[in-house]
Amino acid sequence: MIEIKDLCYSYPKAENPALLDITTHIERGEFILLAGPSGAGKSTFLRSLNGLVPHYSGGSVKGRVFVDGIDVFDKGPRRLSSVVGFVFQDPEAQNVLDVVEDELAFGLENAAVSSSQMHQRIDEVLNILELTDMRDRQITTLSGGERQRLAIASVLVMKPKVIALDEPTSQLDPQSAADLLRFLVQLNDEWGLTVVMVEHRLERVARYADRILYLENGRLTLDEPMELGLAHLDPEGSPPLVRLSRTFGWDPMPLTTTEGSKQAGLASLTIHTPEDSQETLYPVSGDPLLRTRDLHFSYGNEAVLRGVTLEVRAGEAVALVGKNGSGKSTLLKCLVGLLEPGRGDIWLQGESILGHDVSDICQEVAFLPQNPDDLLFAESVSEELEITLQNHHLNPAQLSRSPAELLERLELSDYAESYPRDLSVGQRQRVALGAVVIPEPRIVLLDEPTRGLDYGAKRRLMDMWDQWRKEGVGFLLVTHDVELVARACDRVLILDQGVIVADGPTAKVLDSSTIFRPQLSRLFPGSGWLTVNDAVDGIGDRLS
Amino acid sequence: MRFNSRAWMVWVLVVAFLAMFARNPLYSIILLALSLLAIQYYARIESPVRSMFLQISLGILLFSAIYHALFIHIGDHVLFELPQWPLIGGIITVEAIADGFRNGLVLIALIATFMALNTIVPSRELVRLVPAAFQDLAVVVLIAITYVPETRRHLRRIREAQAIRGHRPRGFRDWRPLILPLLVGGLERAMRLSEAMVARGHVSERAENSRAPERILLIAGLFTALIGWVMAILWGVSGYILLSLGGLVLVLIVVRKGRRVRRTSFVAVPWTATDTILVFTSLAALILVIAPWPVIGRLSLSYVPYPLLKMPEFHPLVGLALILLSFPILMGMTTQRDHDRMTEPDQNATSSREGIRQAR
Repeated sequence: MIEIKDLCYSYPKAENPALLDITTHIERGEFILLAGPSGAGKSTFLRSLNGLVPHYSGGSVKGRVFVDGIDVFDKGPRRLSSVVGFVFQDPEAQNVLDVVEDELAFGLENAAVSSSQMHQRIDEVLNILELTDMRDRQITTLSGGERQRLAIASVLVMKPKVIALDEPTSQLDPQSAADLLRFLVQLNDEWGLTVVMVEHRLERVARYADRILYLENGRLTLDEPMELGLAHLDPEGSPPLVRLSRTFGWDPMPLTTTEGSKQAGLASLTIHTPEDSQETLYPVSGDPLLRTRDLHFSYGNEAVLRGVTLEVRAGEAVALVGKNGSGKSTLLKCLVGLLEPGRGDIWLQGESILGHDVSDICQEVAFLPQNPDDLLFAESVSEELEITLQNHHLNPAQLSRSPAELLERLELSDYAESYPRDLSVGQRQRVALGAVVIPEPRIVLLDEPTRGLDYGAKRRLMDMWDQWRKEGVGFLLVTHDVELVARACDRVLILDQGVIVADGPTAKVLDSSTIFRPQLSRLFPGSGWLTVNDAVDGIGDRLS
Repeated sequence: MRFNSRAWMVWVLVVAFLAMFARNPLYSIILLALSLLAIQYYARIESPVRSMFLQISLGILLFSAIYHALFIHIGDHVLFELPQWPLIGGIITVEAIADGFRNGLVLIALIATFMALNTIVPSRELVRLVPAAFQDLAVVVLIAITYVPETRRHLRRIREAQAIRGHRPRGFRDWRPLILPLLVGGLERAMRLSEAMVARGHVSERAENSRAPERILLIAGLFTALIGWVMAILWGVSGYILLSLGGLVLVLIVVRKGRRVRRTSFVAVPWTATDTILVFTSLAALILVIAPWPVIGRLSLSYVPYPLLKMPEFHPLVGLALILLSFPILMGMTTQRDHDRMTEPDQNATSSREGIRQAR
């Protein structure tokens, strides 16, 4: 289906090539996982499959790419649009029109599909993706998960032979991500659709993919069947199950928790937890830094928060998880005064902050929103930090840590004079973090801080949080990344339709949850082991 | 009641042209009212958009009045006098302020007209209004359509993001943290959108668009039309012949290129008798106002407040001609009344789409 020969590509004015000497062959109906660190060339590779590279981006290209026998570089994206469906990372970025049905018809109209066929295809896709009730809805009223499904529907309606997806699950909760992946597998099986997917969270996709292609610095360093490929992958970038398997030398390598259980012969170790996921409050000591009581918030008539009560203490890392649209981001905005709750109260170190100015609150409560680019506008990284200090009328002498020291801690010293928007996703995330924490707040609120980050960048971020926590900074973290929660948080809150339905120690809450459960908790239910280290420490020689 | 998007386009172009042509504030107010009423009956806009339009309108009126007051120092009613500073020094008059309001009103009427087009005609149909030969232009049209609502959402996000860094906008310089991310983000969004359109097949292939004989003919057509235009100014009839010839060549090329682009339509809104009436009434209003009829007071179309401020003249026949443009509003009122009797008002948009689907 896809034939790539000696592909080299450089973006215009780039010093180094984005893709270098790539040769591979993808069979019809294969499910390919495209992995690698941030900036390795994964998105560029994906764009070369439908001709966006180089037809849209420009630059210089060598080698050939054939998809379904079509010379991609010769024919270009329009010809390829009926063969390769492309799903971009950000579903909002690819909505062309404003109504669901029109959005689906857009590509078909361009491909001159007849009206009757158009109706048939649209009905079919709406049905498969369970979007039928939304056909007349304005796209702006859809949730993140619904938008992602629409983005996929709008390419599937073209009946492509190949679907290329750039991190399609990055904005989805675990349940929605699992549903989406199962749906893709179904299409892969039933339609013979060739799937090429970029994904950082390998644990989500590994079980479904046939083969892994791993890119590093534009080179294809790994092109193996999934099981073999994972065995050769750097342990840090591997899913927990794979790391555990390698620790104990399991062969063949398990890709699912079911396979893992068989390998480990763990049936007798399984400890079942009660079905009820309602947990009691975690008994912690010390006065809470941040506390809310019976917080309510509505957008018009739609109640988003319904009596949220929570606490965050000094040095504590609390995760707030929940499905898409459960009210997590709204809660964070209420905590820093960007939204005014309809009822309830918020206390910071015992003092109510309701009605206080956002700027005043954010001197004590740092908030890093989902999109770091909205924060960055200065000419250099160091200037970004200086501007925040000026906004708060602070000077560096009043701080316990100078801006230079903070940059060092953020591993940005070498980029102090760089233009922030030229940096990688992970670096921009750290610049934005620096810009909100420079006033040395007591609490840090993070909204999906690891979206789009590779394993290495995530680990560095977690190491940084650990240092701050030792200094008494409390963290409240909104994320869909349960593996991150398992490794970095002491306590977990589950928000469901605006209500906190579970609040307790990480192991207890995650272990009893059916949706927000890390891989190893599924492998060892009831054990309280969430990470590879927990499992290795817990079972040690018994398994080997 | 739903008009064909092409009929709406004619109405909008006529209203916009008359808004620019008739500088009399009374006529500008009528045209502004027509656009706002059309929005009222045919579109559903959120209250933040309404308040934004109001704020922008007030801003335009204020800016235009101040600008005229500072830079035009003519008029009999002197309010006060500024020292002889460069450009702005001199008398500040009521007439200059009134002139500023008049110009501001023209601009607001134009904005309202295009807001009517943007809110009444679905994006899908707006894109299809672009001739097939200019497919690339459709990208620009889509970006333009989505620009205002997207920018509003983006600005809100940036304001929140900057507020959490302690930013409190006070002076002009304090707008930099908002404007820079907004501009860069806007460009990035436009790039992403055009990339998405390209990936989904909406782009003219270079090979299809760049046939050499066509390009030569295009240049020749443009050149002929240009020479014809100059000759028409200097020598009259012979120039017009050349101008028409050049124009004909350009139209032929556009038609030929358009025929090569194969596109189908998902929802084809049929052309009905009411569309014909809308086009007819719009063109009739245009001809009645701009043609040099002896009975129509053409002088009333312009209004000059200098040197002495006076009430603008209102000619009933011009007013009657403009009333022709209210045809879609009358139809909208009738439909609304019938609709109110039968269904809930907020089901309006869905039912019209459903109606088209059932009609298919």
